[in-house]
Amino acid sequence: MNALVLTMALSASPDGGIDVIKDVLLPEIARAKTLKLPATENEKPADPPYWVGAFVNELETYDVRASFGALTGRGQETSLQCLPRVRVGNKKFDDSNFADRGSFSFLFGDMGGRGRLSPAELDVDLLRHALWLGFDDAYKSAVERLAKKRAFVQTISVAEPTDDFGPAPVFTFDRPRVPVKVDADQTAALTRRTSAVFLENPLLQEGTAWYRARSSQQTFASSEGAMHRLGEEEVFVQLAVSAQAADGMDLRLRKQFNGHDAADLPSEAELIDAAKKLSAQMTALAKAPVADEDYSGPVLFVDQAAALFFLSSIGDPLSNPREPLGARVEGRMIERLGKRVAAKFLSATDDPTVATWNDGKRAVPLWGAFPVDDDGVQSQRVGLIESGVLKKYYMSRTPTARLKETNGHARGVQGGVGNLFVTTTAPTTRAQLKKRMLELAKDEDLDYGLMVESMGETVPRNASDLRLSAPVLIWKVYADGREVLVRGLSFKTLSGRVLKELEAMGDDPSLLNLEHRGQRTSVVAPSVLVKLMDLTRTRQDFEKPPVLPRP
Amino acid sequence: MEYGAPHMTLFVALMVAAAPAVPPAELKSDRLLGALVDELERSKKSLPSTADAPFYYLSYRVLDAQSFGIATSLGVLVDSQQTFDPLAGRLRILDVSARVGSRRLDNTHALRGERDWDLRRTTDQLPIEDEPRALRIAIWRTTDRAYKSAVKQLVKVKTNQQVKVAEEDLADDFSADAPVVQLQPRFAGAFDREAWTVRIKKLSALFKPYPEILKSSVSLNGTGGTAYFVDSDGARLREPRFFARILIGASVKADDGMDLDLYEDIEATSLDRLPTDEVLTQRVQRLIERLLALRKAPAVEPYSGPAIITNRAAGVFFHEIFGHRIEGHRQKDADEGQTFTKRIGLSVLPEFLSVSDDPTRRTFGEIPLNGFYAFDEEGQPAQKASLVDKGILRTFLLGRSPVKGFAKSNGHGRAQPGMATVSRQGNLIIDSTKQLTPAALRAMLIEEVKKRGKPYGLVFEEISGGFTNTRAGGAPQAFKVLPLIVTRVYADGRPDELVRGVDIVGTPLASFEKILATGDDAAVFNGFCGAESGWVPVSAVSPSLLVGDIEIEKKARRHDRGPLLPSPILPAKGGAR
Repeated sequence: MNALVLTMALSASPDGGIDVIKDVLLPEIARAKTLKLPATENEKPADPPYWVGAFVNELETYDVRASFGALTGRGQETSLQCLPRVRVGNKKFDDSNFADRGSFSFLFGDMGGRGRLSPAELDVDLLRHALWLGFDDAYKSAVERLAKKRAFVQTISVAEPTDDFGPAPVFTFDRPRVPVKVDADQTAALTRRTSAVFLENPLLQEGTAWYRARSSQQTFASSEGAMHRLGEEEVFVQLAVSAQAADGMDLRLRKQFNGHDAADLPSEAELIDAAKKLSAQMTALAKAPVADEDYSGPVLFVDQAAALFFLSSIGDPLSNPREPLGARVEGRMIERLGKRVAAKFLSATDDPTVATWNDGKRAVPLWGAFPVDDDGVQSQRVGLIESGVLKKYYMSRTPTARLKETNGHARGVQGGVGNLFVTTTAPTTRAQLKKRMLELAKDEDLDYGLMVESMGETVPRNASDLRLSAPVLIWKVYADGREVLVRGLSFKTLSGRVLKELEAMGDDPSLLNLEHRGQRTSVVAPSVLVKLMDLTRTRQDFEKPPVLPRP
Repeated sequence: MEYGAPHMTLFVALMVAAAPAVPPAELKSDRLLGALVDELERSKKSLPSTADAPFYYLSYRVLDAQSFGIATSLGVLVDSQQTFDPLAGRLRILDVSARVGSRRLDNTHALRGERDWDLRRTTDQLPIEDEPRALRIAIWRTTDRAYKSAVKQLVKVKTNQQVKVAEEDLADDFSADAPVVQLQPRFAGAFDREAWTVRIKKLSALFKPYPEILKSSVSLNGTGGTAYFVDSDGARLREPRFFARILIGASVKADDGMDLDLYEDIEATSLDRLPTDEVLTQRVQRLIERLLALRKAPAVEPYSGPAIITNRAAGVFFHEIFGHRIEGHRQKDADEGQTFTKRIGLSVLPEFLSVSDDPTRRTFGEIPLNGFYAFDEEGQPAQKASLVDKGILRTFLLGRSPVKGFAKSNGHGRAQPGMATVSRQGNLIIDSTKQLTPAALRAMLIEEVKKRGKPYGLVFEEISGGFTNTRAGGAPQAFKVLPLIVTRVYADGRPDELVRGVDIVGTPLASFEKILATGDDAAVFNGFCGAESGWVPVSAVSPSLLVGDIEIEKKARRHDRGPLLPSPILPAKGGAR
């Protein structure tokens, strides 16, 4: 079937001798600075843009998927995206940070400049042609948006006028990407053999292995003189299974291994072991009883669930701090700058400048590391929470009422998570955490407490929502030491006080690398015991299990 | 190696009503077919059939194919591009049809007053490797979902029958057509991406010297593979299929801000039937010339009067306005406009016109017909359907969903992989007994213009496509077609004049009555048609039409200015480089 027996360097880097910054971005940025809409009968001529910038993003992906021992797809793709950006007005008041209710951008957020264009090969003429039309379109839209925004502020009084674009030192950086190198035959065989493990468990309806390698490069320049070329590589293997419990509940489990190159991944033997473990976990989960009551009591988050708990309760609420003019969001955690927001024993920092984390055995790559952010600003370590007090939040060049300057955390449009480290001054062993949980449970007249080991990685659409995704592996921990897997519970919305209601944190920090809101992100956090949380039984009608046994 | 023309040798071709057989060796050598048959037989035997929900039919349809695409602009690849992995674009799509109830009334019966969105659960991707266990697990999973959906749907159908008034069309839900066994060879071939990339890039580079052309692209897309159909009545079908399409498109902006697009597309049922580079270059050059002329052409005012719709454009006209309205399922659906439902045996077109749909036809002259197929997506052999004979409506396009008075399929059940089947057009062919030479047709146009006291008539040459509303309620059941090249022909002998910014609007029955004569110049329009059951390849063959009265309206337009700066890639006057 598969006749390919060579190691492919996927379409060796397409930038054959082209200097994108010098040959494409700088000349078109210089031209775009001269854009000017002429006067009409009713309007004065519009000002040229005061700031112009552009990204050229290259992406190369190799992808192979197998299900129950057979390939379901394999492909290699290259793509390229030009993103022209202009700002019209001045730094105090420009066309940005405005929810224009008359346009789609109100519904979908700031799309980050119109005129996204997608050439697939680097070519000076094509890129310049694309940027020419892109800048033209972006400029005209910006002029229109600025006029609407001016009209808006003439009728509405703005409580805290805030600048639209903050200052930043000019930064240059150069790290070209390394093209993806992958052995197509070997990776195909790896996914086949790993997914074939799932044939042995007749409960499984889906059993897949997916190998993906990527190499990307972001090239940026602006009219202020910032310029960078940032190459990044990533690779992962994901195992996923699905099954239905006897009552029909749909169950899904997955396990992902990731890093920057193949050397960061486990060996085939280790992957096969992981597949067997996942399969066994699914069998246990399918046989686990369904929770027979709603739960209100202490919850212990461990491993992946602890990392996701902190990502949802610290990372998300401190991201995207600036609300566009015309939007109104109240009671966000960022409003409590300088005040207590968490238990005194908790501190949190975000440091995208570190590339690895030592898990006690080896240095593991941190996916959320980046040297330069999406504003072209050098990344920085940021102390977010110190001994329970909110000190900073994630800043891009978009100023906020309280913090005015960037801290090098622009991810996409606004500030966001890179490598989030959550630490405690009072690390507690797992055994002690469980013991403490049972004491708290007793106060609630419960003979067990809940331990959450993993949760889904889906995120709420709105970053300011305090909501945890559905738990996947939940254990009832009893005083006599029994731990019983249970199904069918989900979290209610988190209270804004949840970080103050932490009882204790573990001595067992672990790392979670994940793609979060479209960005590679890392969280290093220990387990955590929350005094009181509410979980409700999932009341849902399930489709019956398959009529015929699996062939 | 390039894709060759599929070999059409049939080595099993039976037409029998009793359980036909497939040689066991075939099931062994074609492991996909083997897995389909194994799982079909197991499901047929073991899925429960209860008094409430008698399980009486199951079919599997698979497209086992490889798709490819090359998109270029200004001589360079654009959009996301697959590279040279021989497995890139490989896909196998399974569609399961499970029926419970009886042929008289089953789960597929249209629910009146509501639309059903549960259909996607009956489709899935299969492994692209011939590993029987992995294939059978995927088939089992989809069968289970389709079966359960069918049982659930039958309850809805029965309730819907109870609460609504009796239906007008009491035809059965499923025809009793005989199963067919016909195994053709599997598709064999490979797409030479490298060579085609070079050719397509060269064509798109031809736009480079024209700074007025703001956007331009040339692309090649296609799919080559094998279609399978097996069902619980014993149908066993296998057919190689191939489609490729080169699309050339470009746009300019007129000085008043109107955006003008032109397209050329060239279809082929094998890659070696696509035109040579020389011909393709001419097509690009012609498009450029027309586009530049169009940019300078005057914008039209609304007008109604005599017009010639030239052959290929007339094909689109018939496809949109006539073809979609004689699809069988629309005659049963009470929510449809049912323009022709009660007109069987009555005149619907001038008596000099006859219309058929013939998917068995592979070519028209030298031109391959896109709507060719050996069997349809319900396992029925393609057949010629004589729809209109000398102006009189005789039948509809029929799949296995019978219509009052028509109990059998005529092989027009079609769908894109992953979509549920409905009756669709294949090769729509318009024949005329009142044929004039192009010169005579033009003379007749001028005569009509004079007769009506109009200053000029119109000639529509290219139509980019159109849309038609066949449903009752809501928007009017009108149509709109989008002509690209429109010329004024003056009655006083002035030279013809190209105009821009025209849409044709109208209502179907009125338009047909006004066809006065046709040309003797029948030509093919190949394309892809989108409707409820997805995109399917189609053709329309028609001569030019002289229509006594056609109404045009101004095209909606944006008012954006053209680019403020000159193009960066040309040393044009005022250019920056």
